[in-house]
Amino acid sequence: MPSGLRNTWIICKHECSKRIRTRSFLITTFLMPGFLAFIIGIPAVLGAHANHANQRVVLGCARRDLAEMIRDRLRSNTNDSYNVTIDPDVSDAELKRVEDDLDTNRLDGIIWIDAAALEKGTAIYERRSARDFIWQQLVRNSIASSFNRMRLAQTGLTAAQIDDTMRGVEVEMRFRGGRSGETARDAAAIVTVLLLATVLFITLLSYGVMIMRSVLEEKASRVIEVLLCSATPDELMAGKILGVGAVGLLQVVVWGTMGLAFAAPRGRMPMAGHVIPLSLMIYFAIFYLLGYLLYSAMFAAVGSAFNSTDEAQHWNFVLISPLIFACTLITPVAAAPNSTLAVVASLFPFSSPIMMYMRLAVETPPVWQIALCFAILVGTIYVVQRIATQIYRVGILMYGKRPGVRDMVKWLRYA
Amino acid sequence: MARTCTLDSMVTVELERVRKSYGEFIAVDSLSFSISAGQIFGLLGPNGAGKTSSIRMMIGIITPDEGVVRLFGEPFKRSHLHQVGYLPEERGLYRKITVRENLALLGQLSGMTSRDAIARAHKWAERLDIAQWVDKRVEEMSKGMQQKIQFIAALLHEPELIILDEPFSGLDPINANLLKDVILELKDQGRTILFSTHRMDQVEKLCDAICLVNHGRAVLQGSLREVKAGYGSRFVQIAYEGDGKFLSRCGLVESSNNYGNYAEVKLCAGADAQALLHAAMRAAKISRFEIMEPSLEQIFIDRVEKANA
Repeated sequence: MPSGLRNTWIICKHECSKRIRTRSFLITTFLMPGFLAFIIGIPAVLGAHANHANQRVVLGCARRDLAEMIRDRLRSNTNDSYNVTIDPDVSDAELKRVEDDLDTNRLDGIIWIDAAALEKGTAIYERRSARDFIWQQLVRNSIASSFNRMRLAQTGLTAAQIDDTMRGVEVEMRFRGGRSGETARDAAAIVTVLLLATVLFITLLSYGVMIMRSVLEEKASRVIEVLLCSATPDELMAGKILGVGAVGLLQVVVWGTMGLAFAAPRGRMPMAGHVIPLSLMIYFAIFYLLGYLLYSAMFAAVGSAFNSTDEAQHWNFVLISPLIFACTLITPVAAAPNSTLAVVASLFPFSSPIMMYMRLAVETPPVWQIALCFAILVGTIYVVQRIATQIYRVGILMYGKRPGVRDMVKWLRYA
Repeated sequence: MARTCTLDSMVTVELERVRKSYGEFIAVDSLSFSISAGQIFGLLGPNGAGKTSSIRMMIGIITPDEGVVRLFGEPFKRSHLHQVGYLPEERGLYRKITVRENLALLGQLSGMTSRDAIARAHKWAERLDIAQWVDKRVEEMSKGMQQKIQFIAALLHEPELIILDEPFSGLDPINANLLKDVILELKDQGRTILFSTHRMDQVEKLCDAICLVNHGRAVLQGSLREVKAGYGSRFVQIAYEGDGKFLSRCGLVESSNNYGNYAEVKLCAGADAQALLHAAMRAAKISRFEIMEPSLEQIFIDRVEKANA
């Protein structure tokens, strides 16, 4: 192996092994998704648990037929986990009595529709807590559809006519994307893509900042001078960028695998394998790598130019601004992927890794736009890497005064 | 154990009219010197004189604007670096990883395999009494120990040329002595050693030749013997008790370094040392009066002050 490549490879391996063993990597890679799943999962588990228990509900209703309809709907919608007792007495005294039962845990819920409520088309559903938020919607739907059925029956429709009227409508979403084997994508896929774009943003940002910190640390601890006796600045920078980038990619792969493993058995979850086409996974890897190569070089240059994180803060903000700008455009671009804003943002190299990925995920942009995006991005990476390497080459040996833009421009002319 | 060395007559390092500037500031200005193989060479000079820039040019960290740097008789190329060990003045190791990992990394970058680097690191750690620290993180170690690790890093790949920038700074006398012994062993093995330092006493004891730089230019160079001989014997050391003002009043002293009870004196050209002794005896009680070669420190101060005047 040529000496330059060998050095780059050694630094790359060193960066990888050093980072993978850190507590922060293990926490963010393995515990963070688990923690998020825990936070999101707990209410769902609690809600599901509440539903599986035998729910004792008193249904006070001034009309017997309506009460029976609500009871039947609730039973069928909740797989009989709601044990509904119809109470024809809707007096205030009776309400007080059942509320006492609710307070003393002898009941789990009260549905109350007195004569006035019946007239106005309202109902009350009382619980001790709002914990079972998912199932509240089922209760609401059961009451509303029963009311509608009652009203339709009053107009003289037969039960069959009412069933026919109340039949739901299936809306199949289609789009003409032009990719073979893909004719439709559901909302879950879009949610997944939004999620992936956000992961792209977070990863580019956090690993860019990690590079900057690492360069600052090497400069502050003066280890850089020892390394420079054996390797060129270009080799050091390339090794560091590749090493940290590989760690980032590994983290994303671990997250993706955990997500699929977690979601696939549940089928309904947006991460289920079949809703993310392989092409989008490949695009994700490509845009991550290109975006990372662009941003990491700039962060490395900033890290090399300054003496501390505080000094680099201002530039740090300048660098992350286009990323934040791209992040704010994720939803508008997903909504209108062919708008002028979307086209411009997906060609502008500092936002294109996220924006073009979004557009590719929700539609198929014209081929020339995809090609132009890649050409501009790769060209920009080349130019930025060259400028960044030169700043890095000079900056890592400069201590003392905080450099300004003019100083850095001067450095570009140094041999 | 002296190695058979074919480099005896060779020049290991040669700088020829080397110049380096940073914008308006000229760090090194037409500097030329050479270091023979197997020599211990002192690169001396006050802060900001251009020593570090000169060293950085020797090892390709920066490139000269003008002039030529030759290593081992050839114009500098990166492949030479596997024959060069460098201990920079500002010590630097990765603090969060172990000594072993640091040395394995630096050894590999110097062209060794990780296994060889670790094996040699263990040998050196034993030689420098820090074997039990090899698996500790650098951040857990004292400054002196880190210094030894850094020293090992510079020697791990058995380089022909060893560049040591202030190697004794931060070391207690016992460890400084240990390091000195190792440096002398390296010299016995025929390796070339470049010292960059302000510590003239060490240079005087160890170096074969020196180059004194100031404002990027060489102001004095040659073998230590030649340098001292060329400076004449106008230097006197006086140990006394009493009023030291006679030094300034007698009219015989060009410059002096007075410590209160002890003074190093440079006589005016043509002045008689006996006359100074008489003047001193009249003013103070003299316990020692010695006419001697100038110390390197005196030469250093004298030359730098002259150059700055």
